[in-house]
Amino acid sequence: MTIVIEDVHFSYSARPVLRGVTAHIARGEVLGLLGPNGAGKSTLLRCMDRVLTPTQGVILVDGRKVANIPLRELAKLVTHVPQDAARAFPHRVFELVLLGRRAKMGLRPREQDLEAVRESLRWFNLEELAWRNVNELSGGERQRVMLAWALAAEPRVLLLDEPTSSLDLRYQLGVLATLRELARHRQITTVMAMHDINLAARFCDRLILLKSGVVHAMGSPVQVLTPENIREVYSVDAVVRLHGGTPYVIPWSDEVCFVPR
Amino acid sequence: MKTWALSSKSETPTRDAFGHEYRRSAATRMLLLAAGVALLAALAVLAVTVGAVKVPLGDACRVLMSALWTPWRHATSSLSRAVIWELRLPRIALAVVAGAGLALSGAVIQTTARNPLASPFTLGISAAAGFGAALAIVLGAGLGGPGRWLVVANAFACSVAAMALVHLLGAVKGFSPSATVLSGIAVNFFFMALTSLLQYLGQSEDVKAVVLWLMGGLHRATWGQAGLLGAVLLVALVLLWAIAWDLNALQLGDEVAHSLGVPHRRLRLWASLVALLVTATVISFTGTIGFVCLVGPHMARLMVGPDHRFLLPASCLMGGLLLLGADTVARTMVAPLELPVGIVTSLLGVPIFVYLLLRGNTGYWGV
Repeated sequence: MTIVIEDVHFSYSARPVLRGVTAHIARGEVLGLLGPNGAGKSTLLRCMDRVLTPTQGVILVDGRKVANIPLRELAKLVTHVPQDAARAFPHRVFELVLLGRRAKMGLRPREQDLEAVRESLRWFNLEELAWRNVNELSGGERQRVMLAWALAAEPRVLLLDEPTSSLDLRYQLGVLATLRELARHRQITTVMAMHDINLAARFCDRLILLKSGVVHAMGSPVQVLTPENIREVYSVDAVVRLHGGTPYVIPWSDEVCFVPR
Repeated sequence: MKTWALSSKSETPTRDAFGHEYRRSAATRMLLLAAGVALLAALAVLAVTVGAVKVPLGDACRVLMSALWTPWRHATSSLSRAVIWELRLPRIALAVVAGAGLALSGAVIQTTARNPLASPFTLGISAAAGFGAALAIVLGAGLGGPGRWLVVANAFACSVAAMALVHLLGAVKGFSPSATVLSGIAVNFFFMALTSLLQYLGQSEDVKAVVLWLMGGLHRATWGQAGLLGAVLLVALVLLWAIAWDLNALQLGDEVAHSLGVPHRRLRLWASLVALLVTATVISFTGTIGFVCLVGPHMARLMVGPDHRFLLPASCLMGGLLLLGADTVARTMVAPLELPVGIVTSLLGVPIFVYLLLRGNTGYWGV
């Protein structure tokens, strides 16, 4: 599905967080949202899933206003994985991932529901953990469980808030490669808020660099990740090196220290 | 060829294994529920035989069976029949439906408040009911007809008022779980203070009656009460069971529930109102019977896990078992005297609760 974000503003009480964000996202595209803490990445994702309602501006999914789509129908199209989800009552992994099917399922799961769960468990290498208690898993394992939960829903739009924050090196690469392949083959439009610039550069088709609620730069990783942009947005000096066509950002600024030296 | 899966396993062998394992776990839980029903029936038959008048097991069975097939009636004594049908069975039925109702609402409140220590009592319902009863007993003031009904109607009206108060306060903060629990605590202390004031002002006879009511008891059980509570319980169970998946989603947090298409604010409001109404109805008749609504759901979760499709009926079963067991102990331990059942539920409940706490691997304690 295509997503159009048109001049979106949002404020928490008096504090403005988004101040006129405009972006067009193509079907099956993987878009990375970058920016410092508090730049509005999570807020933009929440507006796209209608957890929050923009104070101004409009978000369209396939030409329809998100605000006008009934909640149940929206749930079938858009799946949103917030940060730090899946800590609650002791579900088993299989049960929790099955819950992702809720919008498409009656009281009793059918064969296709179990099949979707089985498939997404396999995508994130969770088959061995299927009958374990979620609360007994490590943070990284739980993060993969929530990704399996999201994909079991078979969404058309996937909104992920820092999907790799707890993963080890191998799974950071594996999970992002998996998500990119799924986006390509199943035309799942994927928007990810991320902190790891180099991972985002490697796996996203396009990047949006947010600064204090406005789009500072938007485009391909090579276009967005320039030393000037990094300095203006993060206040960090960095060099950018190309390796195999992908830009890698190496920060070297030694002035970033928050206690006097 | 799906090459992007992180797992390197081929897909054919696991395919049926998962479906099989899932169906097996569902079947196991159904079996556990059936075992719970059988245990409850057995405990009920045992409860029929014990008491101030001992009824032999054979006699008891014949009396019970005669409800199905009248010729058995002639083989029983009229004393046994009277004791069983007029005294024991209404009380057993009331214990089962009251316990089931309390545990059912406890399970729902723990989910809507997303807090394993929450219960209808921490939301101020019991304190309000106690105040209503005290108002009727001490001042003779309140709603409803004369005598006992004044106490019942008053307790119920005050519980409903507390419910409204808690939710109005919670609404200011958008029904967030913590806001609801905190406003419940405030309402709880408010009504407890009012009850203390009435006890301080009241005559000693009245004060004793208030204290007895606050301890809870099933000794005034009638078929009418059991029938009424049973009907309320059945309606609530059906309503809540129909939204079992939504309650499951709510356990994962508001944003996840929203993403699954669950209107979390509305769901939390209506589910907890239904649950609190059940509790209010139960304790208006029985007085404040503590702990069942806290321990019952935990025992149920230990048995069938956190899926509400199984958790809700399992909570009913556990609550019924707990209260029937406690009431049977209460009326036999120091017979012919009897203990207030509220004392026994707490004395029985505390060790179970501590055991669950120390066992620790149940997961909701964060230990």
